[in-house]
Amino acid sequence: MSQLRTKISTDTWVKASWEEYLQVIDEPAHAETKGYYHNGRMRLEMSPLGNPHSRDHATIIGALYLFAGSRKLDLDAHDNCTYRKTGCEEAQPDVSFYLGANAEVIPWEATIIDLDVYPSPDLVIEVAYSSLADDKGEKRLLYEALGVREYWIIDVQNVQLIAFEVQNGGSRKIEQSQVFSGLDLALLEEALRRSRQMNHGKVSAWLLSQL
Amino acid sequence: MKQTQVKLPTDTWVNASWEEYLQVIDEPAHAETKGYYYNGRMRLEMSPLGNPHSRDHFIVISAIALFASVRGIDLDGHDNCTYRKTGCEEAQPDVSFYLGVNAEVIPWEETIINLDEYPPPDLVIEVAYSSLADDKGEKRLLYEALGVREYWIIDVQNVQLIAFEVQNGGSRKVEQSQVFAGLDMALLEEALRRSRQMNHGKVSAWLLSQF
Repeated sequence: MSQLRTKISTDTWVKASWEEYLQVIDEPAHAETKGYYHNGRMRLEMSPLGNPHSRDHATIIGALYLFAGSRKLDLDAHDNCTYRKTGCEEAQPDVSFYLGANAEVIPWEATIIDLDVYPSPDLVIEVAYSSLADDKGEKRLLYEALGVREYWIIDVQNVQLIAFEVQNGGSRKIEQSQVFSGLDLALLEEALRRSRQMNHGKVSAWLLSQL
Repeated sequence: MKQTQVKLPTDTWVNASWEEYLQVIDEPAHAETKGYYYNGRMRLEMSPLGNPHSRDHFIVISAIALFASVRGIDLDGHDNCTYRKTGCEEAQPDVSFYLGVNAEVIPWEETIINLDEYPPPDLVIEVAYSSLADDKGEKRLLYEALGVREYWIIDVQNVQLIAFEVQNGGSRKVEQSQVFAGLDMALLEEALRRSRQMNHGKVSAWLLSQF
């Protein structure tokens, strides 16, 4: 497997067996690398990301915390958690949530979440700065295969939120979240827009007044 | 509108108003350019494409024509036809079909097919050589918005056929065509694979023996 010691292309899908993928992602050099596996191919994404990405990443987590708190929703939130279906799929979404009855289903000490044992997260979110085309294409197929309930993409450059309801192995665009019932996605887009003009403290205060 | 006189980037989505898009796509220099418009952005794809693309393009058309003739299905086939929803969307799929009761709905003399007047095609196909990521992502969203019944992608490099059933503004992967009832996607993939080893005459004869 000498090919694995040569530099592997990042931010693109590369053919690999599951075992080759595991070997790569377990290397110490890839401790900070985001790993995805789907349909016989792997994708490595290198952290760290830039300032616009990290800000929108923070805004979306903050907004959903506020919403869950004000509506008393049970919530289990994950930042860059790895989900693994051994031999088939792996994903490391920027943000992911278990909600309601699922909010206490993952034990505190679980590291990589084994989807042969635990359910898929209810909501996964990818914050897309340079990865938008892939997030809309291949990762949509990946999250359909994993059977999450909702998949959101934050298009940082266009300040848009694209939300998909996943059902039956497929998905469709929605304007209202089903997993965060009553949450208008236009409100989150407005929060993202406001964060271009004011700091996160002010955006949070505005959001609280709207929720 | 000076910007349209400079060279526009191709094979990527570019912010543009509908009017800007029309001006660009109507230029004589773009007579051979494939044009797409969706969500306030345009995409120009430059023909001609290479040999593997053109061969798979040919096979899928002939395979479907064979299937339709053997099964007595009414069919209206289009190669690189432009579909336009004024002010909103435009697409120019590699291959597209109207079937059954829709097979005679488009008058012969029609040039660009106006989707405010006519129904969207029942099936659109993109043959993906270099455009795979976009065909799986943005174009899937575009064809969901246009409301075709089925969208297929031929992944030339991996010799795969990916078929989506479109419903309710969303879509899901299918293994059996709904618009060509009884047509197994695995059979078409096998025809694509065989065409790597034998000429199109032999592949057609094999296909006929299978229908």
